[in-house]
Amino acid sequence: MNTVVIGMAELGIVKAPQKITTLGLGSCIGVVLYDRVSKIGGMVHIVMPDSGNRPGICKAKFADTAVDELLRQMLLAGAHRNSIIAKMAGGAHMFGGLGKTDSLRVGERNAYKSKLAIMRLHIPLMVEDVGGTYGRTIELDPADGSLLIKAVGKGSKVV
Amino acid sequence: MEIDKFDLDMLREVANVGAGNAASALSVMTGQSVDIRVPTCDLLTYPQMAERLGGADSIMLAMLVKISGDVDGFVLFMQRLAQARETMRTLAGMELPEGDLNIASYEPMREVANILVGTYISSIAEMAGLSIIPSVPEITIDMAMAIMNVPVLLYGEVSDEVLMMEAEFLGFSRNMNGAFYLVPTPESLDILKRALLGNL
Repeated sequence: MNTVVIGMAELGIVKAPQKITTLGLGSCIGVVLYDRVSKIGGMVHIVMPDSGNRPGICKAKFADTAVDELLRQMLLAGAHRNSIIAKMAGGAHMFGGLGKTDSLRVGERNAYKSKLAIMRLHIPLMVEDVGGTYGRTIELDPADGSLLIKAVGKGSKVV
Repeated sequence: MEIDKFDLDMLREVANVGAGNAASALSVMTGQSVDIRVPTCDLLTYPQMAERLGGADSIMLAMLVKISGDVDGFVLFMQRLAQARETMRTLAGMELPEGDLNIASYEPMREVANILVGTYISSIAEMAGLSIIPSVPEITIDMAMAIMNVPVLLYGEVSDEVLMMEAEFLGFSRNMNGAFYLVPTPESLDILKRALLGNL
């Protein structure tokens, strides 16, 4: 099995036949970029919506810096800017019942800010599987750009 | 976030007493011996956290209690699914099929969490001389790391690490192991520290 696993606030780039995955996205967002020409794929596991432009931050952690950094590294790896597409998943509202707690509503803001970052870079967003009250595991196969999404008790789907 | 080794030791001691009382409560409820492992109190990086939980995608039954009053934050009570089933069997005499992911099946665990977390929190509050009010527990079954998003977010603004006070309990004859995680907000951590120091 040639699969790269990335954790929270981490980012990775792979080329087919390698795959890339991240486990247990809750309110976090997984953004993947995929270039169908070079078969290069990248994934970032975003934790929070805003970096607040603080210096020395981990770029992969925040929606407003993570997608830019992912794109930069995709291009460095040889991806073609014009054939890159994006998919995203996550942004759940864990423990739905305690909804009035601000820190638990971060999922929504993470999804919004990630989408905004993708749009700002003019990357077509082909799939978004966000929200709900459950965690997701995602795996990108850069051979065809398919994204496998798994959730506990909900089976899996390929998008 | 300012926290040193002395603070961590002090918090660990508090977790120890809280968990000890909670374990006694569980023992009374079940009529089984329940022990606690020496609690840990550490600042953990995200990869360390995943490792501690036995893998980012291990499936857990989790109950979340929001705390408010003098100390804001959360208490998470987590069990691997197999151990939650064993707890259900011992406590409620209910046999759940292996791999049962239906939340409704685990509803009696909410009451267990109420008692355990309530005991845990009230011991800590008493030691610190603070008022800490627990909410009704929310319950879910999900991947460990998705559940851990909750404490991660409390610390996300100030740090790439999360303070986790972990107290594990172990059933002797029955495999009812589980763990508490007390996660005060960074602001409340200071209040808790000061209160404990004042009461030493």
